[in-house]
Parts: sequence; structure tokens; C-alpha cells
Amino acid sequence: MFEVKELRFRYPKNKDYTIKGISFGFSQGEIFGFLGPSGAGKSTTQKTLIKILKGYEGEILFRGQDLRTLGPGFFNEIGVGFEMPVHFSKLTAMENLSFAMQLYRQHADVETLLKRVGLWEDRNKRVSDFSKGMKIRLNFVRAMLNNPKTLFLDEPTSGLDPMNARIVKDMILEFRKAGGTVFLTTHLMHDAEELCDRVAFIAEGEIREIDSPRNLKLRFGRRIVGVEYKDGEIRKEEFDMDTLATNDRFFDIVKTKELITIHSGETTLDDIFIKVTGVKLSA
Amino acid sequence: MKLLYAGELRRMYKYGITGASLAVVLLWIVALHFAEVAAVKLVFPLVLFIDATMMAFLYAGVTIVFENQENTIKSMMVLPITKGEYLLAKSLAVVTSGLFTLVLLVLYATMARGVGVNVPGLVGAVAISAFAFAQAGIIMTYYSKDFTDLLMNMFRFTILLAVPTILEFLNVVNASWLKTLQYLNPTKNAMVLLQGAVVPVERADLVIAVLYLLVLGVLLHRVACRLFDEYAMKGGA
Repeated sequence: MFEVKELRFRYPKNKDYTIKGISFGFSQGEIFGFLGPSGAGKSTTQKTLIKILKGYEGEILFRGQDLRTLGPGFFNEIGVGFEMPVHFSKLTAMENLSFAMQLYRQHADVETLLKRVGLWEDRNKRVSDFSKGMKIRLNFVRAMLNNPKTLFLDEPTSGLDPMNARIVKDMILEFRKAGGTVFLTTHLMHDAEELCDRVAFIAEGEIREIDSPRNLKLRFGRRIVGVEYKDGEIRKEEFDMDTLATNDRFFDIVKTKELITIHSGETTLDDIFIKVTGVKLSA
Repeated sequence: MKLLYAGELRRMYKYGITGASLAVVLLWIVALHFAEVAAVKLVFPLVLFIDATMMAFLYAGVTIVFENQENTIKSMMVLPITKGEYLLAKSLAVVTSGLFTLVLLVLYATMARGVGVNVPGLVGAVAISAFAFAQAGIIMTYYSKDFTDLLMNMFRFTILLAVPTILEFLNVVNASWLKTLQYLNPTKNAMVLLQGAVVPVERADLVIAVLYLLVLGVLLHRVACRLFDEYAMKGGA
């Protein structure tokens, strides 16, 4: 669907490149996560893919066509969810959506979308009266407004309470199930782990790793089993997972001690990110 | 394009720009009400001049400043429209606002004060002038950090371009070198056009003014379109 080759981008007044020659691609029906800390170049990359930033070096192909050659019709194919609210505050939610919707070739069912994110009852309220969470949910509806084939989402659950974050994540998964493609930029590793088929780690404008969350965990995880048990005092021991079946000490603890916890040594994407990039993600 | 234009008009209303424009018209009407009929005829083009030049400049800029402040400019940039259509819709909405002001002022001047004006001439003059100055306002917004900065830039613009024209109009300055230099000044050409619809002016001056403002409007629109990407990038879009 999208193929990015040696992409480099520098803001006009900057001396250094923000994006330093990155290459990646993602296919139809895939949720591709672009992960990194603030200032890593995630949003800049997304803005080049959605034609907001021009003057980049390298090549971006959309369905085999150079992005530079595509006209405004390209925006009928994609939906964009920005990190910050992008609504006219003195217009109601419905007025905002109606204005944008009229300009698209195809339309989604706004009532269904608004009901799903819990904004239908507030559709005639001015956006200035919305909370931040409501504006973020409206951002998501705005992105889905034209029944896009590809969604670009920048931190879609940032600022949402767990219940609404769940709804948005479910809608993203349903969109993928229906054949849609998602380019997701986030610093929330938990979201990436739950949603993404593949993730790219970006730090200081360079991609350091691309793989599925599962493969990354297998590659970077420790194959151990940790057992916490009570033996007068609380003790903890770790065992090699590959030789577990023949480890007498492990079976002795399981049979004779009072177990408190038992875990495999899977690592988190956060840990892998730090290991790969040397950069810590902010919460 | 029609939808974009309608959207711009709606937002100008919702964001109080139309209301502010109406308030300015009412102030002018109050000011004209206390003037003699002869003075009304003299001052009438000046009132229209301020609305079609400085106010068009300001209104066009303000709509973009609002959009940048609210990040809606990003949302506009991912719609299936060209930047030319986006800026043209904005400019036409500003021209419409200028024409709306004109209608109210003409109604007052003709019905309440019996001042005769060439209405089609005035409509053309306001449309051509407001369009050119709206482009200048859009471009000036690209170089303004915020609304206050835009106002300061408008103030500089007024001192540099509008004040000489007003002084010449009021016969305060009459030097021939200034009159010659003024042919290059867009505000002077706007004034000639607007005056031409109320009092007789030289035909050659009128033709020069029409051509000058038409060409200037088109050129500035192209410049505004070309610089838009850089502005959007600078604004963090």
C-alpha cells in the first residue's frame, strides 16, 4: 500500500535532518505502528505520508504511484486523526463534521460513529464546550468520516479514559478486520502491542528495528521462568525455560513450597525499545 | 468550491467577523449621519476605501490566524481540495463581506441622504479592491506570529500605503512627484476606482486602476498559494 524509500526531511530553518533516510512499507489490511519518544520524528514522518509536509528527499509510493504526483483526490482514500483537536471551536460537532463530509466523495454513517464514541447526544453542542477527551473522540470520528481505506492515527488514545480508549481501540481493530490499513504513531507501547501487526522503532530520525511485537518479544525476551515462593521468608528463583522439564529444583519448589507468583520472563516492548534504541520512552 | 465558500461565510458569522464588520458599518453610518450632504459625497468613497482595503486585508488575515490557532488548518489540508480553492474561497468570502458593507452604506447614502452613486461601478470597485487586498492580508499573515503581530503589520501597511493616499485624497499633500509615485500604490488605485463610482475621475486613471488591481490580485493570489505550504509547515501543521 505504502512504500517509503530513503526518506529524509529537514524543516526549513533547521540545520539537521529530522528524518534521516528511513525505509519501510506497510500493506493493505495491516496495522503498522510507528513507535518512538517525543521528537523522534514520528509525526514528521506521518505528515510527509499525508502530504502536509512537502520538499522531502527520497521516495514515497502509494499503490505504486509517487505521492508527489497525486492530486487532492488522494484525500478521499485516507483518513487522518491528529493528536491535537482540529475542530472549529465555535461550530457544533455536527457542523464541523457536516462541513468536512460534504467535500468528500464517499461518506460514513455519522450517526453510528458518533453513537459508538458516545458523542451523539452532544452533537449539537459547540466544540468549545467539549472536554479534551470528547475532542479527541471527535478527531477519531473526523478521521473515519469518508470511509477511508487507510487511516493515519497520531496518538489516538492519548487523553482518553480507559473506557473510551477501549472503544477507540476496538474500532481500529474492526476497521482492520474490514480490510482497512492503519498507520499508527504512538509512544504508548501497550497500545502498540495490542493493536499492531508490525511495529517500527524510531529514535533520532532513524528506524532502529521493524518486526511484529511477538517476534520482537521472542528475539529480545529472556527465556526464563521466575518463581516467587514462601519459605519462612519470601524468596525468588529463576530457571532456564529450555531445561525446565528436567530441572529437579524447579519441581521441588512447585511441589513443596507455598507459591506466590510464577511468570515466564517475557519482556515488554518498552524494555525492547530501550534495549534497541538506548532511548527511554516518556510515559 | 461553492461548499468551501459557504463554509467560510458561515465561519465568518460564527466567529464574529461578520458582526464586527456590521458594527464598523453602523459606526460609519452614525458618523455620516452628522455630516452635511456635500461632505457625505466627499467622505463616502473614503469610507468604502477603508472597508475594501484595510478591512479586507484584516478579515482575510484573521480567518487564517483563527484557523492556525485552532489547528483547523491541518484539518483543511487533508480535505480533497487544492490550496488554491481553499484560499480563493476565503478571499471570495471577504469580498462578499465588503459587498455586504457596501449595500448597507449605499442604502443609507441614497435613501437617507440622497447621494447619487453608480451602484454597478461601486460593486465592481469594491470586489476588485477587496480581492487584491485580501490576498495581501493572507500573505501578511504568513509573516505574522499571531493576531497582535498581524495588527501591527496592518498598522505598518496602513502608514506606508494608505496614509499617503488619504492625505492626497484630502488635498493635504499635493506634490506632483507624490502623485506620480502614487500610481504604483495599490491603495491609490483602489481609491481611484471607488471615487470613480461617486464623482467624475479621469478615464485613463480608471482604466489603469482596474488593470492594476486585477493583475495585482491575480499575482498576489498565486504568491499566496505558493507560500502557503511553507506557512503551514511553520505553523506546526
